Amino acid sequence: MVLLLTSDNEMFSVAEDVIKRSAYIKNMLEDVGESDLPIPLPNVESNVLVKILEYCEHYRGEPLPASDVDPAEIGDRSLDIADWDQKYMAVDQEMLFEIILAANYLDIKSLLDVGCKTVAKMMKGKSSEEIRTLFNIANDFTPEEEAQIRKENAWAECR
Amino acid sequence: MELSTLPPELLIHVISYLELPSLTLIPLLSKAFRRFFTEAQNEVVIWRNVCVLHGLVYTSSKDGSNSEPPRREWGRWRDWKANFVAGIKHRVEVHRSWCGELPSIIGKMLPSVRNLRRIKVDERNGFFLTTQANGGLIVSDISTSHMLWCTPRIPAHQSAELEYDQGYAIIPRPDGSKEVWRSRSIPSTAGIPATYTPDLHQRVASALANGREDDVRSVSKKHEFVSLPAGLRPSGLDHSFRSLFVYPYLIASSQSQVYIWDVRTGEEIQTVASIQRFTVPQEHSMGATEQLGERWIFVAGREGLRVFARGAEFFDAGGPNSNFAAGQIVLRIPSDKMHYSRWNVIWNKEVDWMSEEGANTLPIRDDTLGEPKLVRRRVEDKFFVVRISPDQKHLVAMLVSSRLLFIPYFERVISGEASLWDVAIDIQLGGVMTPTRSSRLSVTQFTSCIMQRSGIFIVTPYFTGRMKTSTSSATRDPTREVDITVHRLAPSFMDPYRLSQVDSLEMSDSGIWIDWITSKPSPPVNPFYQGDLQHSCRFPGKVPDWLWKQAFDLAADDPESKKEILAATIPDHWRKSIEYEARFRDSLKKWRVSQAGIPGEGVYGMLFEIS
Repeated sequence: MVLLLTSDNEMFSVAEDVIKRSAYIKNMLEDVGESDLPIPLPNVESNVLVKILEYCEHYRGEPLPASDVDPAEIGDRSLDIADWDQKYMAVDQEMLFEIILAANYLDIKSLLDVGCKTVAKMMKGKSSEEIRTLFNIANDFTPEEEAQIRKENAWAECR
Repeated sequence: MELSTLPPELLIHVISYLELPSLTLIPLLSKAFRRFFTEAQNEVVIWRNVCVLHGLVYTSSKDGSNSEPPRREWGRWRDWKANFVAGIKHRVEVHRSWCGELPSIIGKMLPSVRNLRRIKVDERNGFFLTTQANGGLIVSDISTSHMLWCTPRIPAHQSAELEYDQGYAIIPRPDGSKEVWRSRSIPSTAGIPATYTPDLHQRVASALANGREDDVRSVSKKHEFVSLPAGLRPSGLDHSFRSLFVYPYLIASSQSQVYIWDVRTGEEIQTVASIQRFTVPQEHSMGATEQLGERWIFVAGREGLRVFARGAEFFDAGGPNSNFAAGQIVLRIPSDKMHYSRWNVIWNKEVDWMSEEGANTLPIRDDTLGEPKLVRRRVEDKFFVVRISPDQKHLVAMLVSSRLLFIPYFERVISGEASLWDVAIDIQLGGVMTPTRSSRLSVTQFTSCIMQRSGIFIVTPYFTGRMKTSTSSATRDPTREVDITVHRLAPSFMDPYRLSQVDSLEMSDSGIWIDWITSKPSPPVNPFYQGDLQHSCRFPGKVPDWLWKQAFDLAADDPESKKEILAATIPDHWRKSIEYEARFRDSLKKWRVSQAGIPGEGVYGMLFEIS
């Protein structure tokens, strides 16, 4: 069992083969070895960690990604997301971004990919106004500025 | 936590899944997003991701600087270093034009060239090369079409073949051997033995060539060529031999041996003997074609498409394909199959060249030539050309019956990791009965261009995921790997008669080049009694329909594939795996041509420009 201490001082006890999906913890366990001390996770709150552990638990037993994969390398580019992952990601935006941040911090590549894909899927096929509404972004361009940028990007538009 | 507060590297990760044009909405969202998007370090990564997403770069090298060995050099990476983002944008634009999403223009590159045989294009250095049936090699400027340099009109061999790559041009000599010309931009010390002295033929040609030092018109050294040790000729071959130039190698085959030269030095570097015949005797005149890969030799012919290994030294020791001896046949795809793959595209409308509306209204003639006869003809199919993509990963082969077989990452088929049935894509473009000589195929890194009598087709693969070399291929869903857009040039280049007269189809980085002849009138609307055309116009529409059924019956033995093929006929599913009909139709509207009607005589280049 591994002890994890979240930023809001909650202690979690997790099976080692579950949390090893996090390359960050996996490396730490390998470096430090067996220890009774909890691993502090100052960037992760308990409600997010619960969600992360749900993911790790679900994929328990699946092979871990090869360690020599460059983290900057983005593998599968399609926007297909497995059914279970879609349900898992059906959370409010606040939580969605927290999951992405935590997955990045804990270095769980598959979860990070799924999270980013989910956000990208939300944007896909929408107009800029719809995206602004969706993600609560204030439009601080004047109409002239906006028209100018549209013009610059006109080459990429479908005709 | 919200989108705007996400750290830049994660935001980049998110938008790396966005295709164009969705991606270009990001800088429109707010000033902060615009700053993020246009910041130099982000911008480069974002656009590189676009290229990966749209399958436009090799992903083996992340910064794209991997230009060694020279064969791997592609497109404009070297030039891009000055303005990386602009280069990538250009690449994306060209790609979208190939897919029919952006307009393109038709330009007349050379007016009225007589007896033109071959065109080769070097876009990076800004010139194109042409040969003529009555001899001579001409180098012209792409933007002005002015002649820059030429060889004297020494009567060349009648075929007037021309091969060009990376600054080396190869033309046949009157005696049938090969003459190599090297661009002056390549350092003269490269490769040539000190003992070499040009023979009389070369000295005369060099002296007469329009490119002397004192000639005012000799524009720039990079347009000039010098002749190299030549007279390349295998001892065992007859007077004239077919050859193929894949920089830096020239390849030719006899029945039992394949000869490979390094053109930079003129030396024969490898002779591959095989106990399997490379070509069968009666095929020699009919043009079995060879293609050389870095590790493989491909031979297309009536016996099928065959792949021979070049030798164990070309493979990583211990790799999946490292145990093949030189000349060993490692793959044979027979040419008598109804279908090669579970992924099929059939374009089954014969085209009326007079109008777009006519495309679907040609009368179908019921006559004595029913199905049984066609089956027999069909079985006598033949691979007639095979090309490997410059990154050595994908194979494109064409059959006489206007079928294209596209094999992405073909080496896994050789090594047995995947089956041809699962990974190949079988594309039927137009009529089955197209005469061989009127079909052409040209392949660049990202696209293939096919010409046959119903039109010029651009086949653009879109790689949706990175191929992993691990053994997980069994679990992979084949739909995820590659989509294909088939796009037809319309409406100017749809006249089957003129198409059948085209000698050279050449695809360059951003254009398609053909020679287009107007010296003879177009045949009348009714094609059925027009001699040459009669043969190929007899079965408009109907043929592929029953071919399809036949294929279904053949495949139905296997319950798995029956399901697949049934599913593939449902339009939605179809479009998911292979975007085809819808985009093709749209493209007719999207293509913009600068001239109404049929273009005049001359050499046409199609350069994509964004208005």
